Amino acid sequence: MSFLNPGLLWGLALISVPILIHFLNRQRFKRVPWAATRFLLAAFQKTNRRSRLENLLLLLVRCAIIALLALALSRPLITPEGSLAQVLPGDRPEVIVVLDNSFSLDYRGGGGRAYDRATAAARQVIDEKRQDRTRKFSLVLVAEPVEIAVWDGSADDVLERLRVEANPWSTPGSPGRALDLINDRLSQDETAREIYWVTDLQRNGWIDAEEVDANRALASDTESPEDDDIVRSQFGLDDLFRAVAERCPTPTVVDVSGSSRHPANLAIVDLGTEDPSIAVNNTATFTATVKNFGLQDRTSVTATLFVDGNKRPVKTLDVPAGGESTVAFRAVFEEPGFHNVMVELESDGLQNDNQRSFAFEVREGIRVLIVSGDERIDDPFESEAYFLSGALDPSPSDDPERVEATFRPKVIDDTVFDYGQETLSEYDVIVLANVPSIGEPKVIESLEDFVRSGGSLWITLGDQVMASRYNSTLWMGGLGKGLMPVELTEMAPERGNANYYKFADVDYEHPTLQLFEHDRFRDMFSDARVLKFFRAKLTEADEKVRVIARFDDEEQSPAIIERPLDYGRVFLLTTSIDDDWNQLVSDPMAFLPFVHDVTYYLSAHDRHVFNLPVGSPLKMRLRDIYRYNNVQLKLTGTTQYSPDWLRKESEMLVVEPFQDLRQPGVVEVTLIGNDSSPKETLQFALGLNPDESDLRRFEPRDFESIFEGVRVLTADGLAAEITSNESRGGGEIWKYLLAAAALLLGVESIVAWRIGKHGRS
Amino acid sequence: MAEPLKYLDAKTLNRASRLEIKAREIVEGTISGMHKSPFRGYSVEFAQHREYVTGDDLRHIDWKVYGKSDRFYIKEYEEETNLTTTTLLDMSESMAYGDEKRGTKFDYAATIAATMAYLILKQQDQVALALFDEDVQRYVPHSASLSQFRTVVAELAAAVPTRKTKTSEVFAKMANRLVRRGLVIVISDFLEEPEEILRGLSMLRHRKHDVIAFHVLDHDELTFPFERMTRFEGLEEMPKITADPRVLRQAYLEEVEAFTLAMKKGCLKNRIDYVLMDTGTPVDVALTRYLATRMAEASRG
Repeated sequence: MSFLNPGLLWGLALISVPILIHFLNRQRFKRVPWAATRFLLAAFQKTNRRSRLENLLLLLVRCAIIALLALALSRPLITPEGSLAQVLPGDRPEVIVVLDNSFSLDYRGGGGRAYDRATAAARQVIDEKRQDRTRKFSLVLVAEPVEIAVWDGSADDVLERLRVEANPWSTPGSPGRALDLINDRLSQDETAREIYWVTDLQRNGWIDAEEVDANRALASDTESPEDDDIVRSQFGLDDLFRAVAERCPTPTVVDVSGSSRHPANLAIVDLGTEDPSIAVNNTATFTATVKNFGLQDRTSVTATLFVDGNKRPVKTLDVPAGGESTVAFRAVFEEPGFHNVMVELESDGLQNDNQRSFAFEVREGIRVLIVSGDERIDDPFESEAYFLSGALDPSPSDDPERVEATFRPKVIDDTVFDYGQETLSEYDVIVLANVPSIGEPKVIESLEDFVRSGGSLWITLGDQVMASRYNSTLWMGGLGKGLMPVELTEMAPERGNANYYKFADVDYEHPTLQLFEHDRFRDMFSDARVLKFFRAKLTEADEKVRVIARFDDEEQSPAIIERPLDYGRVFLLTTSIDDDWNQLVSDPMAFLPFVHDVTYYLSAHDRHVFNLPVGSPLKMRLRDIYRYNNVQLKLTGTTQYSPDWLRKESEMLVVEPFQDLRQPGVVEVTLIGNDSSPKETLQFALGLNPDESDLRRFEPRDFESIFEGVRVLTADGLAAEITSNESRGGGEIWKYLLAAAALLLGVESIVAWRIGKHGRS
Repeated sequence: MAEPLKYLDAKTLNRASRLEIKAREIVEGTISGMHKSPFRGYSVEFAQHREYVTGDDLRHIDWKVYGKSDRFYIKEYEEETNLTTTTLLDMSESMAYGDEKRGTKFDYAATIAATMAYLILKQQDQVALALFDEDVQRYVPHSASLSQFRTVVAELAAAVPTRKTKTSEVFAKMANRLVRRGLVIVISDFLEEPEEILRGLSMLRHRKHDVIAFHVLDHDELTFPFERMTRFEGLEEMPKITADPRVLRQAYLEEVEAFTLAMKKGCLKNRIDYVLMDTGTPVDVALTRYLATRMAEASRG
C-alpha cells in the first residue's frame, strides 16, 4: 500500500480527539445534590453495564470514522505485493513518455493518423499513471531537434504540452539523440522510472535503411550481416537502450503504426535547377525527383508546378516501385529578386512530402567586375579584359539591336581599382586579369571581405603579374590566410607551338568543365595550346585546395585551382587569357563556354543557403549588417512575425529554427533597415528530409530481437496492460473508505439516538 | 399572637410570614368556597334511632336494626366532638432538595402543613404539629386556639432539614403517642423502603386514625430532566453517582413509578389517602384537587 497524500496520515492522530472528549466529559460534570438517590442507584445498577458498552461502542465508532476519514484523505493505494518498500511513499516509478513526433507519424492509414494514435496512447499512459499524485512525469520529443519537453513535471504539464503538439514536426526522428539525452538525465539521480516510447517503428528512425541495404548487397555473396548487427555497429542504439533499461526496467515501446509494415508513399525527394544562376528573361529549368517508396509501380502520377504560388500546367510521370523518376518544368522570370517554385504530387497517405519548394534569386544579370592589369591603350585587343568582357557580353553597347546579356561585365583599370572606389558588394564575381599586384591594403581587405562573405574571385595571371607581391600580399603563407590558394613560384619555361603545354589530369566533373567531358568536345580543351604559365606550389596541409586541372609538364603543375574561403571562393587560372600565353582564347568553341561556365559557377555561390532542410536556422550573410535592426518573417500561409529568436553572429543574421520553421514551405524574410523601411526581401525554402518518407517499419518481433529487453505493445495492448497493472498494482480505495465512514456515521447516529432515546423515554 | 414568633430571626420571620400569608390565601381564596368541610369530627355517645330518609349518609345506617326489622334506621349521636388533627412533617435532609424557583420539598410540605392547619383551625378543630427526621424533633401539642396557627407556622419556618430520616420508627412512636382518634396528616418524600413506610403508616391506621399521606417529590425527582454528565451527590449519607442522566432516565423513572405505585397500593390497602404531590404543581391547585376528591368521596359515604 502507498499513499498519494502521505502527509495527511497525521490526521490519524485525530483519533485521540473523541477519546479525549470522552474522558474530559467524564471529568466535566454538573454537581447536583440529590435526594432520590435510591432510585438513581437502582437505575444506575440496572443500566451501568449496558451504558458502558454503548458508550464504548460509540467511542469506537467515532474513532473509526476519524481514522477512515484520515485514511481516505491520504489517498491510499493498494499495491499487489504489499511489501514494506511498496508502502513507503515515492517508491512508485516516475514515468517517462517518449513521443515520436517525427514527420512519418503524419501518415494517415490503418484507421486514422499515426500521430493521433501516438498522442492518444501517450495521454492514456499519463491518465492512468496520474492516479498516483506523487508521480512525476517526463516527456521527450524525438523529432529533431530532440527536446526534453518536460522532466519530472506534473501530469498536467505533459498533457498541456501534448495539447500544444497537436501535429508532428516535419523533421526526422533521432532516437539515438533522445536516448543520449535520457541517459544523461537518468545518470543524474537514482529515481526509479518506467519508460513508454510511443513510435511508428519506422526503420529509418532507428537505422539508416539505405546503408543497411547497401551493406546487405555488398555482403550478399559472403556472410550477410543482420539488420540488428548493423544497428549496433552504426549507432550503438542497443547500448544506449541497455543503459536506459538499467534505470527503467523493460522499456515499453508502443507501436502505433497500424497494420501495414510497408505503406505505399510517393514523395518529392528533391527539387532544384542545374542552372548555376537564373537571370531575368532567361529560361530556367527545374527538376523534381519523385520517389516511390511503395511496393507497387505508380503510373500517370500528376505533378503540378506552382511558380510564386501560381499554378502552371500539370505533368504526369510513372514511378517504379522503389525507384525514382524526374519531371522537369521550365519557367521564365521577368522580375529580378527572390522567387520560388513548388511541385505538388497527387495526394496520398503522407501529404507533406507530396510537395517541395525551391527558392532562388533571379538576377538582372550576373555582375562581373574585371580588373584589368594590362589595359593597353595602343592595342586594347591584346588585353585579357578585352577577351573576357567580349566573351561575357559580345554585343557592343552602342548596337541598337543589342540583346541584354546575362552577364554584365565592367572593366576597370587596376590602378583605379587600387583607389578603392568600387563598391564590391554590387558584383557577383570579381576577376583580377593580369593585375600586377594590389598595393593598397584597404583594397585587399575589402576584397577579402567580399570573398569571405560569399563573393567569388577569379584570378588569371599574365605577364604583368608580380609573383612575389602576390605571395606576400595575397597568399600570405596559404591555408586561407590570404586570397591566393597557392604560392606562385616561377614562370614555366616558355614553349613554342610545336611543343606546347596541354591541360592534363582534368576533373571534367567540375561544373566549369562539364561541357568538355563529352568525347566530342574534350579535345577542344585538352588540346588547347598553352605556351606560358606560372608554376604554383600547393600547400600540403591545405586540404581545401582543389586542383581542377594540371599541365602536362614534368612537374604536373596546377593549371586550374579552386579554394573556398569562408562563404566565398577563389578560382585561379595559372595561365593568362591572352593568345600570347595560350590558344584557348583563340577558339571561341572552347573559350566562350569555359568563360561562361566559370562565371556562372562562380556567381552561384549562395544558392544553397536559401534551400534548407526543415528545422535549420536561417542564416543571412549581410555585409552591411549594421543597416538592419529588425527582421520580419513571412511564412507560407501565416501572418508576419518579428522573431525574438534572431541573433547576430559576426556578419550573419541567424534566425533560430522556431516552431514554424519546422514546417516545410517557403519562408519570406523581410529585412528592415534602421530607418524602419524594408530594405530587402529574401526567401528560404524548407524541405523535408527524404528519409522520413520511407515508411518501412519494423515488425515488433524484429524490434524486440534487436533491442533486447525491450517489449513492443500495440496501442490496444497498452490499454489492456496499463488498466490491469494500475488496478492490480494499486487502485485507490478512498471511495471505499469514505463509504465505510458514511456507514459508521449512520451507526453512530443510531447508537447516539438509542442512548438519547433511553434517556428521554 | 406575637409570642410564638418572638425568638425567630428575621429570615425565619420572613419565611413564617410568607407561609402564613400563603396558607391563608389558599384557604380563604380557594378552599373556603366549598360548602362543607372535608374534615368531619367523630362522636362516641349514641342518642337515638330515626328512620332513614333520602339524603341521609348511608354510613350511619344501623345494619343490625335492618337485620332485625328489615327497615332502615339511622343512628344519631349526642354530639360531634372536635376533630383532632396531627400533622407529621418530614424535616430530613432529603426534604431540603429543590431549586430556587420552586423552592425545596420542605417548603412545599410546610405550605401544605400550614394550609391544612389553618383550614382545620378555622373550623375550630385541634391541630398539632410534629417535625421529625430520625425522631420527632419538634412537637406543637394540640390546640384549637387561634394562636396555634402562628405557633405552627413559626415552627415550620424555623425548621432546617438536615438529618437522616427513619419514618417507620417515628410513625410507631407517634401511633403510641396519639391516643385519641383523629386525623393524621403525614407529609414526607418517603425516601425509604416502601415496606417500612407502609408499616409505620399502618400502625397509625391501626390506632383508628384517619391518615392522609402527602408524598412530596420534587419535579426533578419525578421527571429527571438532566441532560449533561452529572454527579448526583446523595443526601442523607447516600453515595455519589456520576452518570449520563440520559442513559439513566428511563430506568430511573421506572424506579420512581414502581415506588409510587407500591406506595399507592400499600396506602389503598390500609385505607390511607395517598396523595402524590409534585412541587412543580402549585400547592393550592394540588391541595384543592385532593380536597375536592376527598369531599366527593365523603359525600358518597
